[in-house]
This record gives sequence, structure tokens and C-alpha cells, in this order.
Amino acid sequence: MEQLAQILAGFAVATQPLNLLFLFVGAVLGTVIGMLPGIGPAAGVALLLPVTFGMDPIPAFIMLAGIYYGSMYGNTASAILINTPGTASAAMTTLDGYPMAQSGRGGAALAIAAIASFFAGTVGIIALTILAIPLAAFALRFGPAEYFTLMIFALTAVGALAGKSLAKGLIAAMFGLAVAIDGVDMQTGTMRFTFGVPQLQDGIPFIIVIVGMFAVAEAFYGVERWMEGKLKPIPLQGKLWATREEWRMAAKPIGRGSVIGFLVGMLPGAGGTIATVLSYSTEQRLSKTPERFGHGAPEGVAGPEAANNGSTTGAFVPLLTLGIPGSGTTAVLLAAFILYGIQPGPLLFQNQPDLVWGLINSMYLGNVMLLILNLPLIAIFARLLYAPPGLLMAIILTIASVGVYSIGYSTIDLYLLLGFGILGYGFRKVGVPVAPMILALVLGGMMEQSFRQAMTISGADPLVFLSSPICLFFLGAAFLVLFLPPLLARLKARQVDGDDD
Amino acid sequence: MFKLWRHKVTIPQWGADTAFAIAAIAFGLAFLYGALELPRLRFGDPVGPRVFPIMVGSGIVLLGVVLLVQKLTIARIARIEDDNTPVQTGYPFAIALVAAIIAIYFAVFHRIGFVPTSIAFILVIASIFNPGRWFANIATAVIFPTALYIIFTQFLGLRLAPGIMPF
Repeated sequence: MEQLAQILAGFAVATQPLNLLFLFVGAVLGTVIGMLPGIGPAAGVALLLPVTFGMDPIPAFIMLAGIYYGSMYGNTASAILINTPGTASAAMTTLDGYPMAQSGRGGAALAIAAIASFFAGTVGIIALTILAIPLAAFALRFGPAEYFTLMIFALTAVGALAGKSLAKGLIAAMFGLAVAIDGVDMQTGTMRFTFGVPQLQDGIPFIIVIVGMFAVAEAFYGVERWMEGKLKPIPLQGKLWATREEWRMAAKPIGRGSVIGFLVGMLPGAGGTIATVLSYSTEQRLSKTPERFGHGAPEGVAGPEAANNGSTTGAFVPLLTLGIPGSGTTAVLLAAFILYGIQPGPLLFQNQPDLVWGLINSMYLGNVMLLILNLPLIAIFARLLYAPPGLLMAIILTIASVGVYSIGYSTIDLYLLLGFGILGYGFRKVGVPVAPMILALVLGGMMEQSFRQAMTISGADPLVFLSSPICLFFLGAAFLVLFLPPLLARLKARQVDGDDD
Repeated sequence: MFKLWRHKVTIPQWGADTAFAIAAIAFGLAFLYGALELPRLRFGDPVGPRVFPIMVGSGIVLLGVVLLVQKLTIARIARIEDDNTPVQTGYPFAIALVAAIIAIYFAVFHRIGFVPTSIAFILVIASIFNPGRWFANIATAVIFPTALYIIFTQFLGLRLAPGIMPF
């Protein structure tokens, strides 16, 4: 009963005029960020995080979350109209969305995507509301050893699934831990990897690494895209609504995509990209006419778009209930929580119900706002696709610089920003995923703390990490994530060889 | 010489991966050395400040070696088969040019101030990557940093480098 009262109080928080205003700002910014090719939600949230520094936490997080799920709506337009996904998770939408636009059904594709996103977003928020309390209650049983093994699992899963190479993903995660360690060790006062630079005593702020690795690296990548030639958007044609036949074809994929997206989104590392791939392949497999896929099938837009938005709300489940992000963007959101001195996790539901339920309930309203923004107003937003990339690059770099400078008013921070920007660009060129590094960077401090606490409690007995079923479950899951995919690939290769023989 | 910044470089993907693996091993070894140099202070903490960094450094070296072995195997197969191995292309001189412009921007950011340096920075970047559109470039270069400065200092209560500006 008390929990129901808290949920209802959350609605009262979400509907306060100031919170509605910031929700609207977040939804608009998210749509814009999602639409611009390259600037993903993680970079968008990181870039705009410093803007929230002077704000109260509730409107700040309502806005930042709005940017996150708003970008999932916005990324559709660039995927459909210029065949370039605004974010990786919109890549599947290009397969059928762009052919639909080429055949004059761009408006229908955008309408299907908007309705699919709205439906999946709303279903996801209801599921988040239902699951949050029992999961948070379960997480109260976690001690330092359980948290350490959970973080091992989260990092392993993100490292293994975020890129194409397991080794590269795990190296990225290790790099993140290496950066997280820098600064004064809080327990002993030992300086670690500060190289005598006083500004590094408090460690390298998350925000510098995040903005550098995502936003500045993206600007460098924009230089390459510019060198390779310009992108030519297809003008929006036809009515912004689908036909009855198209809706009929899209309805079931939207339902299935919502469920797939939410479930996959909850898993660390899986995220929107895997959810959309899974949804697309499911729809293709279930279709009686799979040959239409890739040539403008409405189901190919509906399923992945629903999965994409479903995964966004799903990603909030581990972040809010366990305090463990499962993706790059939720890692940035965790960094934002930490910057505000708030620790997400089970105690958040007890200590700050206004914040957590205000945030969750604001998502219902945010989805309604985004539906309005992305249906009648999409033609206005689509004009952004014509913005000169050269100017956009300069604007991104200026915002990144201002954001980082406003943290500590230090020129060293700016040079670090440039350094991490170059590193992020290098990572991208070599195909090293950035998400594991960011996740490790944000979790690194907590991970070491949990490790040391567990070792202290157990009298330095490492078997403490095998002492409870929860620990064994997470370590087993990490082991499976590491070794199952290569094993399956080898078995498949052997089977193919056998067939060839 | 003037066209050098537009020069495109192509290297095989396994070459880029091998370079990354070697860099990771070198970084891991340096990190491990730094971790081993840390004191063994414990104060009731059986682990101390050096164990976790040692684990991280060792992990980087180990994974770097795994990646290196994988890539050297691929390189050997590529040499034997001499087929179309995946390649990585890039514009290192263009990236270096932009990085140098950003470094200069940051060097004078604090001293001269956010607004004048940002106007100059946006103008320089836009004149390279958005050439010919002078009105849009100048308008953006003047309006955007000024608006950002007003938003940050007047509405968000954050301080931005005023530099040579009187307010």
C-alpha cells in the first residue's frame, strides 16, 4: 500500500510544471540528438550533463532520461530518410525503412516507427514499474561479494557483446578500470598514477572521458565522413500515416518487438542493437513472405523500432534497482547519479522515492510528448538532416569544451578531453567498443571497493566469491558469456565442414 | 604539400588490430610496473591499494597477448591466401589538423576567454569543412558562443572563462 502511494506521489512529482518543462526539453533534445547521425544517446547525455549541474536532481534526471529515450525516437528519421542510423540500434530500421522512403512511403515508415516506439516505450514503463520493487527488494540481499561478481558479469557481458571481438571488448573494459583507479586511494591515501599532477589527485572525472570518447571522437569521425562525401537525404513524401494494410502488418511485430526489446534491454551488454537484430530476424522467420524483407516491409520497421524503445526502458531496470548499468548510455546516467551524490540501487527506492518514481512516471508523459513531436512535427525536425556537417562538428566541439571546462575551470581538463577524443577515435577505427570502457570507468571505483570489502570480511579468503548461490550464478553467467559463443561458433564451423565433406 | 591533409591512408584490418594489441601490451606492462611500485599499505585492509591495479595491469597484458596471437594468425593466413583482406581507411593528416586546431583553442581558451576564442574556433573549423557559406558560418560563429555564454553564466549560474571580456 505504501508502495502504491509512492508510485502515485511519483505522478504528482512528474506533473509539476518545472518537471514537465524539463521533460519537454529532454524529449526535444533527444529527438534532435537521435536524428543527427553519429551523436548517439550516450554522447548526447554526456554533452548536456554539465548543463544540469545547477539544477535540482529530479528535473535534471527527468531531462537526461528524456534525452535517452527521446533519441530512440529521433534516430528513426535519419535511418529512414538518409539510410544512416542516428544510433547503432537503428541500423535494422534502415533495411526496410529506407526502401520504403525510396518508394514514396517514408511518411508511413516514420508513422509506424513512432507508434511502435510509443507502444513499446509505454509497455516497457509498465513492466519497469511492476518489476522495480521486487527486484530492488531482492537486491537488498547483495553483499560486497555479490556486487563484485555482478559487476564482473556486467563488464564481461558488455565487453563480449558490445563489439565484434571478445578480446578487444575486454581490453576496453580493462582500460576503463585502469582509468577508474587513478587518483588518491580513499582507504589508505596512496596516490595512484597521478604522475605528480595535483589535478589528477581526485582521479579523472567521468565526464571528461565520456565526452571525449563519445562526442569529440564523433567530431573526428565526422571529419572522415566529410572527407568521404556528403549524405543526401530523401525528401519526406506522402502522408505521415500508414494504410490500414500496413498497420495490420505492423501490429503483431510491434507487440513482439516490445517484449523482446524490454527483456533484452534488461541484460547487461545486450542493449538496443541486439534487441533490434533479434526482433528483425524473428519477424523475418515468422513471415509467410520473408522475401519482402529488405525491400520495404513494414514489419521490418515496426519490430526493430519497438524493440529499440523497449530495450531503453528495459535498461533502466538494472540501473535503478541494482545500481548497475548495462549499456554505455546507462553508464553515463549512472555517472550523472554519482555526480549528484546519489547511488542508484535498492536503497534508492527507500531513500528517495520521489526521485525514482518521479523519474519512472515522467517516462509515460515523455512518451506521449515524443509521439506528438515525432508525428505531426517530424517534418520540421527532419530539416536538421540538411544541417551542414562542418558547422555541426564545430558546434559539438564547442559544447563539449564548455561542458568539460565548467567542471573544474581547468585547462588540463580540456587537454584530457582532447586526449580521450583521440583515443575514442582510435578505438573506433580499430573496432574497439567504447561502451565497455565507459561502463568499467563508472563501475571501477565501486568494483574495487566491493572487492576489498569482501576480502576484508572474509579475512582475505578469495573463496568468498564462490560462497553464495548469487555469486555462483553471476560467475557462471560470466563464464557462459565468455566461452559459449566461441564454442557454438566452433561447433557450427565443424558442422559446416562436415556438410561440405 | 597543401593537399597533404586530404591524404587517405589504407592499412589491412589485421595490421591495425596488431598495432592495437602491441599498444595494449605496452600500456598494460607500464601500468603493471606502476602498480608494483605502489606501497603495500594495508591498515586493516588485507588487500591494500596495489592488488586491484596489479589485477587490471595483468589482465590488459594477458588480453593483449591473446589479441596479438589471434591477429598474427590472421596475418599469416592473409599472406598465404593473398586475398582481399578487410582494410581500414582513414585521414590521419586531416585528424591531426583538427586536433591541432582544438589544441590551440584549448591553449588560449582560459586566457583570452570563451566567447572570442570560440568565435575564432568555429570560424576556422567551418571555413575548412563548410567552405563558401560565409553568412551561415559567421552567423553561427558569433551567435552560438554568445548564446551559450549567456545561458551558462546568467541562467545556469556556471562560470565560463571571461578572459579579455569586461563582463
